[in-house]
Amino acid sequence: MTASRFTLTGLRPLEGMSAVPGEDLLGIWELTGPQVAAFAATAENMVPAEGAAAISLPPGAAEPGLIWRVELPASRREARSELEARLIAEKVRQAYLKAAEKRLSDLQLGLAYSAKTAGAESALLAEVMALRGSAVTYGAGDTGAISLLHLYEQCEALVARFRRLVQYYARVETSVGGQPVALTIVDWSGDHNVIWQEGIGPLDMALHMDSVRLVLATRQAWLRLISVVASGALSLSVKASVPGGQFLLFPAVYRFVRDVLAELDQVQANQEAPG
Amino acid sequence: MPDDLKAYYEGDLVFNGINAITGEYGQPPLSSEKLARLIRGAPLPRDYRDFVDRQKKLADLAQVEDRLQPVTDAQSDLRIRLEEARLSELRFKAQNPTPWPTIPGAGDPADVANVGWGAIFPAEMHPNVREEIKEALQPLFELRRERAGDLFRIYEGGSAYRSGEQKGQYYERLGVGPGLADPREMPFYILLVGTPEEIPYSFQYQLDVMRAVGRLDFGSDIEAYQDYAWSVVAAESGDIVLPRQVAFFAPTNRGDKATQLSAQILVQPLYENLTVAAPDFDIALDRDWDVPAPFMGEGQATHDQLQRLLGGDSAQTPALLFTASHGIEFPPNHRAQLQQQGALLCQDWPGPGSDVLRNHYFAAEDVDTSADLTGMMAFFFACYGAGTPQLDQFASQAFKVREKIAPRSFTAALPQQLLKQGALAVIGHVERAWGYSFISPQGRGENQSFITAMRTLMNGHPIGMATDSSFDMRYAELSSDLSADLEELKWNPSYLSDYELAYRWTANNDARSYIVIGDPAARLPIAEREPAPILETEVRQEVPATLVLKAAPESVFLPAAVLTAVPTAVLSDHAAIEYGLEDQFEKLKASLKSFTAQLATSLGNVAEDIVTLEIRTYSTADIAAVAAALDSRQEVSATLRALTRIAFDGDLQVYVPEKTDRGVDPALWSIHKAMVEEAQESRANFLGTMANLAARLLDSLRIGP
Repeated sequence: MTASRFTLTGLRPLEGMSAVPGEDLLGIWELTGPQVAAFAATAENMVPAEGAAAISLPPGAAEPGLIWRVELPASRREARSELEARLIAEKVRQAYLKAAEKRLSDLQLGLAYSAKTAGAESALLAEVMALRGSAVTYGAGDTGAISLLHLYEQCEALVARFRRLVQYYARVETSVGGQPVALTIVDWSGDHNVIWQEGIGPLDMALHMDSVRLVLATRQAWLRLISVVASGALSLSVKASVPGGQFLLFPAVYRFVRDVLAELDQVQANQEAPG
Repeated sequence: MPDDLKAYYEGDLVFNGINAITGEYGQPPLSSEKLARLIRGAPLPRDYRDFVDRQKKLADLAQVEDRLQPVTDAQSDLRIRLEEARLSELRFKAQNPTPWPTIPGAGDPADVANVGWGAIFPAEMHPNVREEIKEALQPLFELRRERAGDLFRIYEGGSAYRSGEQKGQYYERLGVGPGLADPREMPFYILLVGTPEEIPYSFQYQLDVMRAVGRLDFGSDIEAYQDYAWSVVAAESGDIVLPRQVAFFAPTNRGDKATQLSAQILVQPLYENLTVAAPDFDIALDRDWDVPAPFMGEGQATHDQLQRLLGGDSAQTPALLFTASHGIEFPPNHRAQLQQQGALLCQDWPGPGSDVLRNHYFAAEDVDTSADLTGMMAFFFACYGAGTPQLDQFASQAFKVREKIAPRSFTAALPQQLLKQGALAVIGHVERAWGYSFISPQGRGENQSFITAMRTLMNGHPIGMATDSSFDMRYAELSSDLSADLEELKWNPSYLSDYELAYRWTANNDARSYIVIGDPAARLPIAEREPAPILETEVRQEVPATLVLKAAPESVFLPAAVLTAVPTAVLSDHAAIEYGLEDQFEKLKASLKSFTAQLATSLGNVAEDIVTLEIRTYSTADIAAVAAALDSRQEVSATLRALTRIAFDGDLQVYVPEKTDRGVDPALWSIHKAMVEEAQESRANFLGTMANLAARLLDSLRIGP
């Protein structure tokens, strides 16, 4: 039985940047390095069918876009379950993002060290206090500084990733049991080009539809993530009167959102745990 | 006696079942006169002699012992009482014609929310097996529970069906009243879960009179239950959209009166009827359907063709398949009986008296294992097409003997296999199908029940409704009339001719034994009504068949100097400097600016492109080669199948190829339309998110210290 795999290639950092961390905050996609041909064939083998229309790349297309590959098991039931689980996960993460946004807007600076304040809020408020000069400052080599350095790198990579997200079309490839089913290219204006393998049935078509749906939902969620972080950093910088704080706080707010997602995940996992 | 009817019934009557071992009719041809004698239960000694000789011959062939047992007086009394109870309800239904046998005020019976949904388990099913099946069916149960609310029921434990119980007894035990279905007492849609040994066919027929009943029987194959539940959920999720295509399959075997009649008098008129959307006095089709000419007779209704229709060629697999053929039967205990009885005999069989070879009939194992039948439904007009009871009802009536025609009652394997591979339901016949029943006393085709059932299904209604308004209603009327006829004949032997009695009896038997294999609330997952207008043209001549991939705008690589055009804040960097992170801070700041610039550029480009939204659907014989060519920037080709262009002002242009050899594929066309809807929604959401994000980022960049 073929295992399922959801991979995304093409989000490698631009030249000179640090490596993009492999994690997908939505927990759905495995970010891989250089792209590998999923549909194993060579263009040389392709003989144009009679009456076929040319599909050609326009000159000047500088580099390939993002390739989202959904490799599903041969059992259609399992394939469907896998896809549904990820579609649900994406929806859950959207809800978590909303919760994080609300917690950000509810944040009160005066409660920085209150016992009532959750861990993520405490950490974020500590950062704010530090930026206002009212808390500890870190010297080079301190643990805090190293942590912040890492965070800055992550944020920078994240932003680079998102830039590519809105820069390039998305190419979605679905295979079931190792057999290619379809390939869809969605550009950022929403135009769809769908290429189906001849002879596939309605069930496999529906699976590919779900793959496309998952990709588009992920793209949405990622944009929403950066939107939450950017606006959170801005509003917090105003509240804290930190000049230029919207940039300084960007990494801290990103970490806050990441922590909230992890915290809600943990709550969910505890609820689902037996006994 | 109408002469037309006499013309059909004179000479020997032949029936729709062929014995696979002898190549002869399962039920030997009978004259109307002899059939009438047997229907009356008054055989001549020679009739009984012929019958016993034939049973012995079959027994020898199957190497089984004599299986005839006399019917005892007690059994006979019980049968009469049950028959009276059944007739009482049938009379009620016939005399109180309502659109649906549900109580007034229940609401639209097509909606489970109004009339409920329930599943009945047999008490004799092992609790562990029942729990496993329940768990496997959980997705289906959840789907129905969500819709039916308080009208959802599972009958198990104390409310399970108990062995030997008749419907009246079961109702009484559960406090369900007779007559029109009251969903508060018991849901209208009832799924029987188990074998016909555990819940007999007779119970299913009885329950079906006033309710919509289906059966799931995958034996101990728990995974099949799970697959089936998942198929129904997938079909009703809206993701599976089948092309609105129906197919007919009708062999006309040489020298075989039964299939020639079923092809000419049943299938051909049914096909012609369905090509008209709204004929007078029929249910109007509320969607356009592709109704191609039947696969009929020589070179058409072949085994290979049926395989293509049943998933062997997805382009040919219809949403709804209707077949009319002989069903294959075997002597009881024959090793092939449980797996192959009810299999469909195809045109490949040379005709009566010829050997039946394995490749002459289409059985469960002939369904391509990779066939994707998700969402489809089928109607098999064939002997034993849905199942076989253990005892022959005809012998019981004619000769007062209980003849075992199978070691046990069982569900036909072919419908089970279709359901395992995604089909939602099959309508078929238990026991013999009495083909003469579709010829009216005036000698015309009597196809109304078939027409009603097919049209109801094609309008996307639950399959349980399709059979209720057709065969169940017909059965009620015919049974009610026949019982009166038989009573009258006791006193007045000339009341009915042998021909008329033969007609009424075969019609009654035929109508009684159609059952649904599958969830009775399942419906065809077909596309809704077409959006108008649709422009049909040759797509390759009208639109550029080039897949245009948007290249990255150069602005994304703009140097930092250009970015100064974006209003930026004058930052106080002391805090970052204090952390010793000034380099990272600058990089992040530049990244954010660059990202915002890209976002703005993309939005600007979208603004130019927003005038239209285009969705193109291609197909190719080798998608791997297309992917490889895209990777290597080479030109490749694929066939453009459909294109939809939606203008900003709402104008819609749809291009599909004309129906040529390489024309529109119904499945592709359906998925294309689904993709259009998806693209519209996706674009709106994506643009909204991008615009919102751009606004927030620009705010960030504009704010100063």
